[in-house]
Amino acid sequence: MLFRKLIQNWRIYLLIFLALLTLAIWSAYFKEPDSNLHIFIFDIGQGDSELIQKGNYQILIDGGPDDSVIAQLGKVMPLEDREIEEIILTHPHADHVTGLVDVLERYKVDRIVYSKVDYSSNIYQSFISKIEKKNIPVTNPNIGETEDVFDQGKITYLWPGKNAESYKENLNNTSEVFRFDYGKFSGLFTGDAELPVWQEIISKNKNLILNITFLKVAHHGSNTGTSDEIASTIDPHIAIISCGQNNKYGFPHKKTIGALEKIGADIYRTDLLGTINISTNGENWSVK
Amino acid sequence: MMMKKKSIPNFRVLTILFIAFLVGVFVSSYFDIDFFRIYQIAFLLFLVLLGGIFLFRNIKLNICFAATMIFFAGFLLFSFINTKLNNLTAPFGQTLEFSGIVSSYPDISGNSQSFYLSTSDFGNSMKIYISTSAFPRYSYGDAIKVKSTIQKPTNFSDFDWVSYLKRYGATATLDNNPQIKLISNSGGNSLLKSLYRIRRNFENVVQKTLPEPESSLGIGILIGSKQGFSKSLINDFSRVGITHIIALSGYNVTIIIIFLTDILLGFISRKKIFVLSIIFIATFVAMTGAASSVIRAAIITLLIAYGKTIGRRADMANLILLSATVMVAINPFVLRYDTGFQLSFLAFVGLIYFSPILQKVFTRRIFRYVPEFVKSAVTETLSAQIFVLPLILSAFGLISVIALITNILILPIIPASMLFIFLSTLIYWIIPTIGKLALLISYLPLKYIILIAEYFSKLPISAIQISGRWQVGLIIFYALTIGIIILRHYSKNTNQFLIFGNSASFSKEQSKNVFSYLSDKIKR
Repeated sequence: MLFRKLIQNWRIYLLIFLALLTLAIWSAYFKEPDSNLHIFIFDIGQGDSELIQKGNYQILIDGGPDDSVIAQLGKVMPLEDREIEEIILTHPHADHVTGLVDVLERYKVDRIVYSKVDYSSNIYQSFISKIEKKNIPVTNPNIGETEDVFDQGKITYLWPGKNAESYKENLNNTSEVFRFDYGKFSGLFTGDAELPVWQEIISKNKNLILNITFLKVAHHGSNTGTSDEIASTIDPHIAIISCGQNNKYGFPHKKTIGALEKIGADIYRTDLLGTINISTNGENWSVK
Repeated sequence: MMMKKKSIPNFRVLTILFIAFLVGVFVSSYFDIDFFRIYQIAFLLFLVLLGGIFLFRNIKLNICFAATMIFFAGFLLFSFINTKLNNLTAPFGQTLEFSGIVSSYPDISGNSQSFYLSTSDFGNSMKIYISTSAFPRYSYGDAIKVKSTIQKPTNFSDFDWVSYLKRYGATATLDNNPQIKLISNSGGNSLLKSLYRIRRNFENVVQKTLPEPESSLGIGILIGSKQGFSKSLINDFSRVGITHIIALSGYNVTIIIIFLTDILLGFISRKKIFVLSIIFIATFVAMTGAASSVIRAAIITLLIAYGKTIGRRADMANLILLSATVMVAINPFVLRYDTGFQLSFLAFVGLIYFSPILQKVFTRRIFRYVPEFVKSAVTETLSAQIFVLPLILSAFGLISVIALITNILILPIIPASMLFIFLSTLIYWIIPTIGKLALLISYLPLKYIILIAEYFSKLPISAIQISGRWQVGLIIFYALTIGIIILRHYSKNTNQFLIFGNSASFSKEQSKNVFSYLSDKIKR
């Protein structure tokens, strides 16, 4: 049988294996990374998961409703890179946190940002206990706090800071909202933040949500996360909606689409296009 | 070793008895008879038949009596175990808190994990099927406290769920979202527990090093699991007809024996190698959760290896039947309710009886320029596929049209990838940094397999769906055709007439298989 012949040659395979091993070890030293910054909005069904990646540096925002984020990461991360520098969990709902537990299991994660809001669900508790078990540093940044990432990236946190506990009646309103700047490119990550959060941000930090290139539309395109006023204030060039195909909530809402069309933003949807990849060098950008 | 070469009738009698037993179990599985109602009648019947054997001197008649007895033995065995399981009751429909021990390696798929729980809180010791969220993970041997409503399982419209559960000894399920609390992790068999720990460690190493879906595939081809496969990928695999590479098969077992024999021969004696093989295979079988296909392969391979060790050749028909009988005797439910068991046996029968026919076809002149590896891949795939096709058709209603092409492209690199993953994990356990790089090598063949599956499954003609109405007719027509081909082939070459005739004379082609390779090695 075929199998027998192949196994008979196992010594040759051993040699091939060793030769390839040597090759792999050497090629690990000579690798040229893609110098552009990429933002991926993953197609993970009805949920949220985005990745900011530059070379070997990754920031993962949310993990989606199941473990399919693992396969998505596998597609876009460099093969030998098994480390994610930062994870940001916007809020503890299952469609945002579930995949992160698998990520913590499989990848080395350096630090985690989340609001530490109290919520008793199996999956959120597993997320917390996994962080504790692996001793990963956790921060809950204040509003207005900034964080420098890789060479010239900057994250500015806009919500919730210390407000998480007082807003936790609707967990969506404890969502981490932050601005990400890279050269002239800027993005606004919004989790599931609803109108009360936006009113707060507009009244206190309006200047921080201006001049936005890319907006991750809040709450999967629900009309509770976007209004005409919010859309025209942010006025992004690109608006991306992360939602599942034929999802039971009917996301995205036609009012949201209407508001975004009115301001002339280019709208992309993961339920129609799959994973979306924004590529930028800090000056120009392109969307695939 | 009764089935070894003796006078012809003797070992053929054994063949008949094995078949009688299997038929008995099979027939019994169609009747839900209370064992305690029929066993007295059955006892009388046994006495009558036994008396018959002593009364008559006619050998043929005696064989008939014996076969009937064995048939009823099989019939009664199934009904006994079935009755025993039916009589296990729990307070169905009530919401209760109870405790038990996780008695299987939890199966994780997507967002959920499922396992069997042994509990004796309801009188008799019984098993409950539990499906819960994927996190927190439970392990074999965990003692847990559960609060939920206990349910009596009912069949789905197209799936015999009750019998499926009975196969694992389970007679109850729970409502969705049971509340589970871990009490301790000190239960279970400690040997099995450490084996499962090694398995989980292996899975972790691969998962941490390789991206998805390659890591799931890597784990799948080495220890046979569909864990972590996305639905679309599973679908792709069955459309292109390569699901068998992630189901455990004889490959995995044979690889162990061949390596052991190759490496150890010259250092220690044949018998010691045989004993070592038994230990390694038993370890592997336990670690992989004792899937039917592995046990089948393990029993057959070990019996043949034993035969070679004592210098005798086994009769293939008896060997196959013996291993089936052993497995069915241990768990009668596998015969009808375990597709893996059926597929494994059918594929093996195909390899043994049909591949010689194909090999003969390939000796024709037109096939002169066909490379050897293509020929053997075709022979192997076709002969196994031809036999499992009716079963696949009736079980899934889907036939892969391009299985032949994809298998030619994929099968040749399977052993190498298995070897790579195995070696890399060993290296990882010693020096993790080198092991990581080593595992990346396995990425290439795995990626290749996935690319092939994805590419070919997109072709519109890769698989055809056949509706229920046509299936029966098609299967009968098909079985007849194959039967005629086999009968014609083996009746022309009387010395190869293996199913019914002289087992002593294996044809040249017949002996071209893994086992003769083994025997060559051991004899040398």
